[in-house]
Amino acid sequence: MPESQLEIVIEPLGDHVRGDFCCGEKRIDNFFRNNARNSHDAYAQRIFVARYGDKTELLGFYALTLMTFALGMNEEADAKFGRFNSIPTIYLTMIGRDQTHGPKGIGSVLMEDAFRRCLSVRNNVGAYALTLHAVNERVAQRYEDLGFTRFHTELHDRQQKDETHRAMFYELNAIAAALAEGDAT
Amino acid sequence: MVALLKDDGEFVPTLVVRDPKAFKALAESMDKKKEPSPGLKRMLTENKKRFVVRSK
Repeated sequence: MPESQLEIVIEPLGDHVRGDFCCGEKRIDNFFRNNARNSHDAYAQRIFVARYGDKTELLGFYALTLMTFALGMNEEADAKFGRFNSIPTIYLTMIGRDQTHGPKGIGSVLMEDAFRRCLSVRNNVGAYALTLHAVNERVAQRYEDLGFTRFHTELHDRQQKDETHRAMFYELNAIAAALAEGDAT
Repeated sequence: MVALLKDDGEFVPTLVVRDPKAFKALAESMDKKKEPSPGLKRMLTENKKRFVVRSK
C-alpha cells in the first residue's frame, strides 16, 4: 500500500463510541448519538461506520433501509405503467462525516461502499434504484454530479421552499456499470 | 436523508411512498440506456488513489 493512501475499515455499527460524533446536521447527530444502535439492532435500518484501520475514532457513517414507490390511488391507473404495481428501492437514510476526525473524501468513500453494498443486496433481493433525500441544495448538486436524478415528487412540490427535502434516485444498473468499469482499470 | 428524522433524531421509517410522479420517474428511467456518469467515474478514481478500503 503506498504511504500516501489511507487505510479505512467500514463495518456494521457495534460497540463504537458515538457520543462526540458531529457532522454538523443536528438531526443526524442526534440520531447517531442517541438512536442509531437501537435502530440498527432492530433492523429498521442498517448502519455502517468508517474508521482508520488501526484506530477506533469514527470518521463517518451511512445507513440503509428499503423504500417502495407505488402509484397513487387515483390518476395513475395508467396502462403504460400497468406492468408494475410498485418499484422497490434501497434508501440511503443518511450519510455523515465527522467534522473532527473524518478526512476530506471520506464521504465519497462511504458513498462508494453504500453503492457496492446496494449491488450486493440486489443480487438477493429485488431492488431497482438507490433513493435518498439530499440535506440541502449544495449536497443535491453534488449528488447530481455523481449521476443521481431528482424526482420532482409530490413531496418535493409541496416542500420546494424547504431546502431540507430533495428526493433523488440512481438506477442500480448505472451504478453497477460504473463500478465494473472502475474495477477493471 | 433527514426526511425521515425528527429533530431529536428519532427515525420514522416510510416503507411505501404513494407518489405518482416519483413512481413515473422511476418507471420511465427503466427504459433508458444506462451510462456511467463522468462524476461517478471521477469519484471512484479519486477514492482508489487516496484510500484502501476494507469493507465488512
